[in-house]
Amino acid sequence: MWSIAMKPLSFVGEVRVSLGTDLPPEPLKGVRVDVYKFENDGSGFTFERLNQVPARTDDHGKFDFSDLPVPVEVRWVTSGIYPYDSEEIVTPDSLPNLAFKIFIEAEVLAGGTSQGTQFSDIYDEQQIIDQDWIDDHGERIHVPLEGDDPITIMIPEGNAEATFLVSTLDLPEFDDSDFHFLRVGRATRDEIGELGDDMEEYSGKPGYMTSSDMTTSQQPSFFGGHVDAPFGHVLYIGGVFANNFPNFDGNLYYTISFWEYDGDPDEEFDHEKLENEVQIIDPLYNKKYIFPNGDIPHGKWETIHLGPFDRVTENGDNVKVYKRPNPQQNEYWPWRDLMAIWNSAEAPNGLIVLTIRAYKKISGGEVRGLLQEISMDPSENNHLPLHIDNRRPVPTFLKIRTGYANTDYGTIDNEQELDDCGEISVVPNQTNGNECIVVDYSIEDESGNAHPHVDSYNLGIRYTPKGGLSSTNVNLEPAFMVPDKKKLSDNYANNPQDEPHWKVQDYSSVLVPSSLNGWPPEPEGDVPNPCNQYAAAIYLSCSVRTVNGWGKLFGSPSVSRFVIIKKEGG
Amino acid sequence: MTITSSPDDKFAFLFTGPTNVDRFIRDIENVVDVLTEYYNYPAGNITVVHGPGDPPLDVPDGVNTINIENKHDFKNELEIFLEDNSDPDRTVLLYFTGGGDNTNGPKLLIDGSEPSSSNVVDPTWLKDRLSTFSGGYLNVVMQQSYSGGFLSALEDSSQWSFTCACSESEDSWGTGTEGS
Repeated sequence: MWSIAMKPLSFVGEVRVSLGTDLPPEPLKGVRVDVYKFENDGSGFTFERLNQVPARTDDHGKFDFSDLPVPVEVRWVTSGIYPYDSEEIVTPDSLPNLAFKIFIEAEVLAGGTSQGTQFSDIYDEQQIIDQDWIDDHGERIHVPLEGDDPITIMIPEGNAEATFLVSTLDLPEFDDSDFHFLRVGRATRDEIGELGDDMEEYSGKPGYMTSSDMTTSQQPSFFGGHVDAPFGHVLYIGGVFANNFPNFDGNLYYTISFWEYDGDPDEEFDHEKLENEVQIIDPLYNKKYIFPNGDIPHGKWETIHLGPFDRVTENGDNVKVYKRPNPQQNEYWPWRDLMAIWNSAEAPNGLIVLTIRAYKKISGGEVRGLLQEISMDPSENNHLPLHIDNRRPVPTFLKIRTGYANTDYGTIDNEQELDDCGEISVVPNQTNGNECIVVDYSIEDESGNAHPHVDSYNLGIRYTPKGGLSSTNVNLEPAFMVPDKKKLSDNYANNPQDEPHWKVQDYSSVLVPSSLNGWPPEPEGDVPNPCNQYAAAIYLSCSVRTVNGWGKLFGSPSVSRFVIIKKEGG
Repeated sequence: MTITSSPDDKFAFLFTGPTNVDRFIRDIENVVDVLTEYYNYPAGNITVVHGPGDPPLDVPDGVNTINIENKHDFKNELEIFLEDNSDPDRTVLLYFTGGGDNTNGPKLLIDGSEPSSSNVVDPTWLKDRLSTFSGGYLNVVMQQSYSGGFLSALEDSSQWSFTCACSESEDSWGTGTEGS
């Protein structure tokens, strides 16, 4: 008696594009593939998608599906030969008829901003299947559950999208065995300045990152909004061995080192200029998702420890190596390219260069295997320059004075040191200029030196209005620009530099209300009925450009000097 | 001499060696059903012979069921059947199912154990038995694996017919619920 059972369907296929009689069909690389089971019940064709996750074609246009559940008719039969074993057989007529849809992912842009991913069909056999098609495609009818010849999806000549993709999706020819450092966190390699970089935004800035949405091309960025940012803290280094690099069935190991660089940053990378190598030995892990199956009905995540492991090379050298994972078909590795999770504080502040060595296991087991270093081909991406800066910014007051700002003449009169008790007297309707506070300050590092990578600073004074429970800023003249004085707030973008350094060092700015009677005890300072005196805080906050590839570092530290502003005679 | 049309003149000898395989028991039951229900064989004209064991054989009352233990018993039962029915007015059906083997030529197994020289018969052995038959028509049907290999031994008489399930190089398959 026949019964219906769900059986796994596995097959390999390839997608090709017909380019006419004069040219051979070309493989279509990097496109998505859905597979459908179809039937004709007499009233028309019906289609049912078999896969949950689309396949993707490789460089040769090939793809594969494994263990897709399909209903078939089965029965158990017994052999007529001793010992009369039984086996399950499938009715050939119940095997699935297969049709395919080929599509691509496309990023939708609006005004230079990504609006998300959209799927665009290239070729859909559901739209064209009829009896003539079936007569011409016998290999698609009642396809065996496994082990049959590869299925070829030939996109007919004249398909404009497919023909275009064949011409544009050509991947570069990879060398046999090279490696490519390709990202730090969400910052992609092309957003990081190279040694000898000749692009306008990156020239002279090796190891600094500028988001692609901040360049003249304004390409969307996974890590947008950053300009000339050095790197700090823990960095997630991503990279990939080239497609032709053998994976040795999971026996591929590697080390990553950072070096100081003694060459000219404006010249192309010179391996001979590397010095003081330090190997990265921070722990490395990765995470994978195992798709649901009979044993794991809901799927699950697993954390994989990837080293460093102690190994011995064939030369007898002890090495600490990371292991490259060998993903299986029923797994998904969202961060498959993760090569190292590196605490960059191990490196000196400044330009360093990452390099890689690869090893394969040539004998022994998982723990005691013997490694052999693999000779790698040159690649412009086999090293990665990074400008490291792990210095925390420290906003610092150098001196605070009081005086009178004469807006008519642009002078500050009668400057004197701030009273030790922090008392500042103001008189409404002053005729010799408005009372002001002159602040000298710097943004330093923890060693007292000027921080070279300031992004912004902001100077102001806050007080609590009469009867209030919070604070507000005194409305100040943003730039009382007497000679040698600076704006109350400024940022890196307003101060273009030849080098990506911007220091706020020995700055001096004037805090003066934008109206004559604007100090809090004065009539326009805290309307309608101000107190006679106020506690207030002169503050300086700042930020630096340093990033870790996922976000900006060090937040917005600040320093405050508390004062009392009192109306004279009050 | 003509092929008989009277059910009373039709006799059948049905055999399986292995008795522990469902499909062979279903074979026997199905053939008995066909003979009695479609060709009106009297149940008493049907002899079922099987190898060692007590299979759950579901056949109508009156069918003669014989349990043999070895090749000697099988020879005796087959020769007795052929001698008893060596009547020109009778048509005889010999039906064999069960195990087959092709070690040094096609073989029919007469019990459920592993094939050896003591529990198999070959085409020559069967031809010797059939040569004792002097009746009317003889129809041989073989269901076991490699049964096609028995054809060459059964070509001597124009009054014999031979039907097999597979060639001399093929295994025969069936299900436990429907037989071969």
